[in-house]
Amino acid sequence: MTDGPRDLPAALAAAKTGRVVLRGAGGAVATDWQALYAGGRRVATSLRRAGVAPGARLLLVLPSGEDALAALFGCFLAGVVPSFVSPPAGVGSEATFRRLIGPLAAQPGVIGLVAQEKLVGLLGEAAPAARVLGAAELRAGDDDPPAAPVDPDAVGYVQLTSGTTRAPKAAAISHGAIAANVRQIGARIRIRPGDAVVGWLPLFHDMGLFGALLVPLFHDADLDLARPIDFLRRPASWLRAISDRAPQRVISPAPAFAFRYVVARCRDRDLDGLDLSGWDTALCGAEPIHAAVLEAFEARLAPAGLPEAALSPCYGLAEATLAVTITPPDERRAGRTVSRAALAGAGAVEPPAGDDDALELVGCGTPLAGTRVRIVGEDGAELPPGRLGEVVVEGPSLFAGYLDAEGAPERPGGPLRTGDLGFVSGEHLYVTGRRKDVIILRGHNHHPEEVEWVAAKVPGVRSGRVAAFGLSDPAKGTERLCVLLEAEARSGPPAGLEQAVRRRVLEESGLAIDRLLVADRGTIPLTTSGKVRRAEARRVYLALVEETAS
Amino acid sequence: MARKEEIAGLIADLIVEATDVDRSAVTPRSRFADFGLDSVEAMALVAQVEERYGVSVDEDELARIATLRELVRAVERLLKAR
Repeated sequence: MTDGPRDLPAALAAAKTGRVVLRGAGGAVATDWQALYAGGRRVATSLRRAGVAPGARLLLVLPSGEDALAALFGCFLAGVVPSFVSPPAGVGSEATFRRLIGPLAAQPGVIGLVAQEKLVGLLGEAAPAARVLGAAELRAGDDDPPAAPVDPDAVGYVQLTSGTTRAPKAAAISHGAIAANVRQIGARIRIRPGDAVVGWLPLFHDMGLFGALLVPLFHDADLDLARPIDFLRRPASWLRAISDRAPQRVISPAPAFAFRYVVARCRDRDLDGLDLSGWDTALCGAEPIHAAVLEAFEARLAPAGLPEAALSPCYGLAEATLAVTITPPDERRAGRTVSRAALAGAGAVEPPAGDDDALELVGCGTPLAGTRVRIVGEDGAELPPGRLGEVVVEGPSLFAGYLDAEGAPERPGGPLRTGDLGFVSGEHLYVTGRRKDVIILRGHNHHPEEVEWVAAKVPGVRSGRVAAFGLSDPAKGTERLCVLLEAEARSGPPAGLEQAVRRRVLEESGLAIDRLLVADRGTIPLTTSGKVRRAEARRVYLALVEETAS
Repeated sequence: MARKEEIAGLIADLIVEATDVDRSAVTPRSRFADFGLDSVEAMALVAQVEERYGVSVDEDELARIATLRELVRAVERLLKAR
């Protein structure tokens, strides 16, 4: 195993030279790891004095910035287990936040929330039973020396993996797993002091927290961290932040849609004078990656000096902390064009029979050192390269389990069955299908049940007859959330039903339905026990859409 | 054309361009989710409107904007304040 800090507190103590820029609504703050470490120590003191016991869970309802980092580091130093939750961010976000924060705060083991002053009033209304600790107050604690050493097997962080829903899966990750994965990633991308990570992913996203933040910390490299809203408003600012550092070596993590977004929104004048020659590694993951999107990105930015091998697709999941495979550095990403029919049929990787049969796939790289990836069939037997099966992962970064109703992590031991479908070819992993039924929107996993359950509550919707699923959209660079449902009334859906469903789903789960189809009664296929067969429903939906089009 | 109508017109244009919906479906009371726009697309749209008028809506205010009408008002207020 690679050398390096054994845990986050050790990383903080060792990060002597790395500089950090934190960008927020009020501008940019220039700081460094040692100053942020001091901020963490103060928070740890405050937490101890406030009686927050080791092992207790806190929700950090904070935007990226000094408050968030002080709170995160303070929790680790005090043995408290944090989870980031996004405060309202983006147009119309407050209404959704109000509905979701109460249930989140009531999760097992959560003893309170950390928030900025301006959120206190809203929290008092939306989560009146929750204890709220003010971020500024926590940071005013004494700078005491850090306390007990960390137990690598103890839970260090709980990742809420299902986005903004009422009852997200709480993935418990040990200190040891965190350190292992961060060091594995660092070793693979060969990050050194003097390099910089430039990103804007939020800290409640695993790629943001472990990728953008902890990788440079553990390796005493520089960090430039903006927020998603900054990227969405001015995508060129991301490129400029990288360019301004040239010739410094830059690594960046981003979800696949970000590359499409840059191509769609950046004009020539935005790219004027950019020098991207230092952008050594652009990690690209969190959702299915389309070759055309990457090619368009490269074509657009090659004139600005983007290195040929910069785009580095990767694959991972919260249940393995973050990363499982990453395209090796200095290697151009792998790609294969395969037969759609052979893959869907026999699960065999074969050359396409013709243009109509061609499926262009992007490789996600090779397993990190210490992690083992196997492809297994339905019977659990390992499959050779060139055969499609379930991706199974073993290694030091596996999570400790989802928290049960009592707040204890539970995971059956042994290798992690990801539920993702893929194959190995030329030593690279190709991920072709998602976890069973899970919908990936903007790099975030969502379970269809959450949408179905909410939609079914809308008057006029036939109970138990709602199917939600994702449809891949290369143009959008992400999946579309589609819903097929039956109306209660035999005479057809009442006026305004579609709008009512869209609004309710947005309000209660924060998700926007892309396409909604109201079907005749009896359309949605069910199992013998009356449960919706989602994969079948998806096929029915596609057939209906085709029918309407022709 | 009154400023309000012009702003609303731009927003409607952007929504139609992004989603292919019928322009008649875009009303002042509409919400982004009515057209299947997720939070990223909604923010991208807001960013384009801001860019066109050279304004920047306060983030806290943005979080509270639920309808297109509210967005139009916010932009209009910023322009009047110039």
